Amino acid sequence: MSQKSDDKEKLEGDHSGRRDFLKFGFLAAGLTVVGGGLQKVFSDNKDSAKVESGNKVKVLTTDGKLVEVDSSHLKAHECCGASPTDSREGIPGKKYVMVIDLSRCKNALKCQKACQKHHLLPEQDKWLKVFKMQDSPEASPYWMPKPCLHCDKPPCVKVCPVDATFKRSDGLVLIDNERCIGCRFCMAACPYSTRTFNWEEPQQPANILEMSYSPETSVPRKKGTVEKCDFCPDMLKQGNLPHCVSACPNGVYYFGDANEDTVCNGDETVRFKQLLRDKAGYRYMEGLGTEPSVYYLPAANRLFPFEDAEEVKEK
Amino acid sequence: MKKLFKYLYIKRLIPVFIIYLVSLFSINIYAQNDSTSSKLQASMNLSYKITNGIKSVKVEVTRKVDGKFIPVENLIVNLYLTEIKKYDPIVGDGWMGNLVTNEDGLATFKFTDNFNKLMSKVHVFNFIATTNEDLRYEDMQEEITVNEALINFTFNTEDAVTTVVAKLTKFQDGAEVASPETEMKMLIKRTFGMLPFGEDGLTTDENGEVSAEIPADLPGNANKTITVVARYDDEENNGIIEISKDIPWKILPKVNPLTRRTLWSRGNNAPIPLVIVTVSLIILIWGTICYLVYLLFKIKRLGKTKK
Amino acid sequence: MEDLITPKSEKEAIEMLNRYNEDLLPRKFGIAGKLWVTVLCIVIAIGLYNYIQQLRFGLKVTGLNDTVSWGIYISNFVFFVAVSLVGSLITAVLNLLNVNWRAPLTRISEVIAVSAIMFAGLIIIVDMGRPDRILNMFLHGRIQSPIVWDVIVVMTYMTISLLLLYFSLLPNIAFCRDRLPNIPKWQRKMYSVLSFGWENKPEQYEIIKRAVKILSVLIIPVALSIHTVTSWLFATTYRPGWDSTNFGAYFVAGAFMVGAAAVIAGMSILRKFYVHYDEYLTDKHFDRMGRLLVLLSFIYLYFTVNEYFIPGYKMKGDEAEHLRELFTGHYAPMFWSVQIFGMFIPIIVLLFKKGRKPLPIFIMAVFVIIGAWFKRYLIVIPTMLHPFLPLQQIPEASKHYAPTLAEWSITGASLAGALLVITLFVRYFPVISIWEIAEERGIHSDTIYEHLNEKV
Ligand code: SF4
Repeated sequence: MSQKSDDKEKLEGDHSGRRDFLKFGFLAAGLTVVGGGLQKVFSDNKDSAKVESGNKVKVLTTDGKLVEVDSSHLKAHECCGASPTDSREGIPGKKYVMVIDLSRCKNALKCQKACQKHHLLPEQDKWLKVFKMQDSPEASPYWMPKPCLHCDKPPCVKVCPVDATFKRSDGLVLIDNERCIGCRFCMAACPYSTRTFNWEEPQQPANILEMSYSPETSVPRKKGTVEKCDFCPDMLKQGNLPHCVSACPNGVYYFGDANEDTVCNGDETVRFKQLLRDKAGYRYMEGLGTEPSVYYLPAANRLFPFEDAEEVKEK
Repeated sequence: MKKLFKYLYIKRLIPVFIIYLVSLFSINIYAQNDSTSSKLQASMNLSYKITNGIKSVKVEVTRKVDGKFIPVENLIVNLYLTEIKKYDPIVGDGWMGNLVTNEDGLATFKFTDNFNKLMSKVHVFNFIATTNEDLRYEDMQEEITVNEALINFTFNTEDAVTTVVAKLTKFQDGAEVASPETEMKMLIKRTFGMLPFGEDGLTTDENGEVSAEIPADLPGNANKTITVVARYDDEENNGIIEISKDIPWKILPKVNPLTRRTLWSRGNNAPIPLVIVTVSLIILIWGTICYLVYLLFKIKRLGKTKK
Repeated sequence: MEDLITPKSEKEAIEMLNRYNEDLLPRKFGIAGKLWVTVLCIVIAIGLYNYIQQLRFGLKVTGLNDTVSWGIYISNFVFFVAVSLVGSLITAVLNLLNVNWRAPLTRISEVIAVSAIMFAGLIIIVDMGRPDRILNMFLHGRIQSPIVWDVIVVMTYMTISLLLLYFSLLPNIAFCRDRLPNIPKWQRKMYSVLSFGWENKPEQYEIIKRAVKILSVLIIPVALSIHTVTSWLFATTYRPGWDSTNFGAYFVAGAFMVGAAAVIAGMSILRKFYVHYDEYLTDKHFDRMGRLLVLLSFIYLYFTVNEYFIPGYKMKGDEAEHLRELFTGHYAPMFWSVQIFGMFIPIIVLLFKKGRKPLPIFIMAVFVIIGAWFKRYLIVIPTMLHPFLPLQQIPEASKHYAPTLAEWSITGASLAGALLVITLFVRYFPVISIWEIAEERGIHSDTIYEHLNEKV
């Protein structure tokens, strides 16, 4: 905490005149030393202990209710969001891919809950949907989770008039919501109904609003712009799996780097190409030629019998 | 009117009084039953690990809520090692230090060089972790005993096939002996996890050795290496022993979807034919428009000259 | 036309010229005109109020949602673009073909074109989620995006049709400047600025004629591309119903048809409210325009059959659902009314000579225009409701689309705005080009140049 306020002091110093700057500089240096020392003292005893800041903020829960929590509990997107310009470069050497094993999905929706929570999404905006699919009348239905497919030939990026949505070298398709003009052409162009639009001013906690915007965290969210699943670049930068992958209790999602030929579902780490070969992996609507980064493994030999959760809910 | 008020007033007072009485009783009941019940129950778990020769002890504290384990954070844990009694004369027998759990309920103690020196003769460790008079949780104590074990690596490349041989030894009565018939894992470190290689269920032979081939078609890391890991995992007796090494490796060509001028590239990377066609059309048409505007001004100029 | 009386002497010619001037000068509005302008202004004011609400609260005030993210703003945009195509049709095509009855029609059609394309540009800004960032279009424009192409062609077309209108208007503005009696100062000032130094010199006429010829050629490809590119906004996506190679031609054909109808409607209204206009907009003109409309309707019919019959024959999986909804489902009443009232009935009526009389043809033109508006609605909305993936896990409201009152009023305001522009033009400028009429009726150019701006 003290570190942060020091930075602020320094910043203010930069803006004032030269003499003021020096004065502030000394002050800030002093504060930093003291602050740093204090921090050390504290960290010896309470390593990463969280101190309640006493700052209550309003947060939207996944079921759309506003609750008050202490701001120190909000650790989402603490770090890692690059500026809109910097986030146009991908993470060097990576090409992220996802494999979704349909035979293991039982519509537990843990992935969706984690996604809604970490991206501070309201009930009606779902970046990750689980569809109930049935390929033909005789075939049994199955659950199909669908994030953004992060196509290698993305139709949405093709049509964007202002370069607001872009493809990165690591395969991610992101949106710069400080540039988006809200024409919604990308929504019309996406064949997978992936994108959502901020039809009104989004409700967000105060501390999120204060942060500077980054396409890598997609917060703070902005009125009149489009949004979608971003594969959690803030997590990827830290070497962590996206939230949906780690939240799934059944290991449905494999995520990894195609350049490493390895994907991981949290428990198991396997060769990417071999997995596709062994389990007859495919991409949704390959015929469109969009070349998604998300692959599916067919819903054969299911882990769970198909249960219609919606009907169950109604009973 | 007044009467009615009074009536209501009394009517309201009665339940308040009853609640008061009940609450008096109930507090008494609890107080009699169990005076310490205000503290919560938590459970502690200890594990021991050697990674590339660096020893560490990990403490995990969790609490069960509605059938789920949730981490206990910000809890101070004292760690003891009974074998080195003289280590800290002030605090007491074998006290190694204290740890504070983080938000995942975890705390790790890493052995320093100093510690390693003190224990160079010891091959059986008995760790004890305790908590002492925490305000929220009841006191806990947990203990593990581990035998030291070691892994050694050798690499050998023949006909472009690299084989890794790992040898597992354990200490028995102070002597290092090979450990046969033990299951081990060979892994390669990747961004999000450890990729196993070799046959399923690799088991050491009579010399305590396992060997596995690294798949030749596996792409390497960006710095032209791969990190090979051998792991032996027996939490009960030996803890987790892990050894890793970076070896030179080839990289496969990277996929970069952005290298070409395409319809989905940035604006400044548009396909050349598209740029040529649009720009020439614009120049052609707007050039003509400029000419027309020029004509317009010519009309104006003509208007100024006298007839 | 055959029955035109060519003047026999110069004196007669000057007399004719003077009569044209008398008849075609812009005039103050009567009660009906004033009422009309008031109504339009009220509609615009309501729309503006709602647009301010939309700016404040976001596009939430519309019926749009994540499924139907393009609604009547976009279909209205397509409608405007379609109507604006008429300027090129009448002026350029008839001009190049040297049709000898076009003079009274050109300016009406050009005015309709200019106002329609202006409001096409405005309504697209209304549809944007962040109109405050419109400059990004120029700062970060991506030449790969059909929207950028559309912005370029819309601006180009607007410029060209303005020029086309302006060049032939110059002598008439000067004429208003010199000849209109009893007008307020500002009005005279406006004429004098706009007349751009016009002095009725033969050289100036020469330049106008050259410019109009260049523009007539230039406007054809631009006009075709404006509507083709607009169709590409849809055809470049994968959605069933839009993923069609027929779309460009289909849109252009539809645009020609509604454009011709718009001119007919404009002609009828002018003729009704201005005395003497029937001498210039004769029954013959209506007859010719009626024939033209039938021809264009047949072309449109041809493309419509292509657009629906072939996919309907195959009934491809994803397309089938969309088509069924149109043919027999939720949108069937609208779909069939549009086809019947917007195409078949006008074709049948206009095939008969009696049907091409001013009143019936006016009614048919109105049918075609309304039909065309709803046709655009049918192009945009039902497709949005049939994405490839099922409509699941979305709020109930996102499974339908019903434009809100605010949306209707903003759309209505744009239509009213376009009409107001046309109305004001008619109020302040001669909507039938006097000198072109005179030329068409065989008055010698020298006579026109010399006597057009003479005081009466
Ligand atoms: S809505 Fe935004 S991201 Fe999408 S195409 Fe338009 S400007 Fe680009």
